[in-house]
Amino acid sequence: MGRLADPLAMSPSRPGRTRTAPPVMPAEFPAQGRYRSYMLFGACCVFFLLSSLLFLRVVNALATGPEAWDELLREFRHPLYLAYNVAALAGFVFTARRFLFQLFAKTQPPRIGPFPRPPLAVFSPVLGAAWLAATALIFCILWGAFP
Amino acid sequence: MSELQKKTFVITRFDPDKDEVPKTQTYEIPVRPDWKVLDALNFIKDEVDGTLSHRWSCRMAVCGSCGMTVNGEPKLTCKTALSDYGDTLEVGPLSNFPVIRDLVVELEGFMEKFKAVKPWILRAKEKAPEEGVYRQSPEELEAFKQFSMCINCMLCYAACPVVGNEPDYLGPAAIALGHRYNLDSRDEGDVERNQVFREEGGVYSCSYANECSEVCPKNVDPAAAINQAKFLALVDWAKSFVSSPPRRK
Repeated sequence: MGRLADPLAMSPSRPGRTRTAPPVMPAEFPAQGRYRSYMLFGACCVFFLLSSLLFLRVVNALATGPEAWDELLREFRHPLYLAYNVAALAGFVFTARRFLFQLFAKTQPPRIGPFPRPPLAVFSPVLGAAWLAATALIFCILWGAFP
Repeated sequence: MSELQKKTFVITRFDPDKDEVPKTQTYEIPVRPDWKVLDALNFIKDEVDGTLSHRWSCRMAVCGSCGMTVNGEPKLTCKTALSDYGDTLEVGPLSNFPVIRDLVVELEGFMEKFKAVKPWILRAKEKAPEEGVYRQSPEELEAFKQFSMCINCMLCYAACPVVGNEPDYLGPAAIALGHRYNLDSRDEGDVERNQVFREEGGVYSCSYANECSEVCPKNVDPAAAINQAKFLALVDWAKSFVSSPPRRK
């Protein structure tokens, strides 16, 4: 049996005449079966939060001046930062894979204003191509391909 | 009779007059290989223990009465073959619901959520009978048909992790059915329903576990309906910056 759910879950607004046993959460929740993937998906929001804060720090260093920027680059070479980057990359890829390639297509209603939804089968290849293009673009920028 | 084999059923029991909390009771019974879980429960009820309480009706996955958890997963027991399981099965009431007795859960909370989304056709003004019927093209039907296949079995509620934690949440089936009427070309009640959808406990409570769609025995895909409704809320919000508030269709 799962752990207890909120005692008011699925209860009527006025209690019935019969005493009831309290509701329990699904047996596999939170760490077994398909719920594991869902919980991991939710946990990945930590990477989005930390990376947003990191981005603000980068902007702040850029705005402060060259010394602050050099100091930040030195900090980023620390093994802890490198380890964080690897973990964050894994988190972002997992999040993108689950949302963009498994769940996103069916969130699109049959019509958005005057425009009909493209066939569901089109979404994954188009999103995949866009992802590859964006990755290639960023790789080129980091490589210094654009002067 | 050589086809009979023994299986053990660990069934959740709860008597509101005697028990503080649910307990389990074990039954070992002979079963036929073509039996469904519901057949075994009916055998126990008829031949072994007449005090066992469970709901069922049509025996063909249409009425939605016999939803229970089988080995922890919400299932329609009339559609769940015993041959898919090993020698021991655990059968319990649907998760996330208060239990009235044994495998029977309280439905009233579900019915209240259902009524809240007004799952019927709303029109500003009804046509007079002499004006004829409301016509609908196959394309217009296709837009909502999938969401109209729901049989109200409540398996989606039993699988949803949000339902158990947020008592105000409307839940998958109610939102899917409300969305079904919003997509119906004959309906004009989308503004009223969207108000309910966009309140506390509406579509924004869904965190897209997608479990409702995984367990749905009729492939309704309630997660798609909820997140389409969420997406349309976003579109309406964006539109509100450039135009007047949405009106009836």
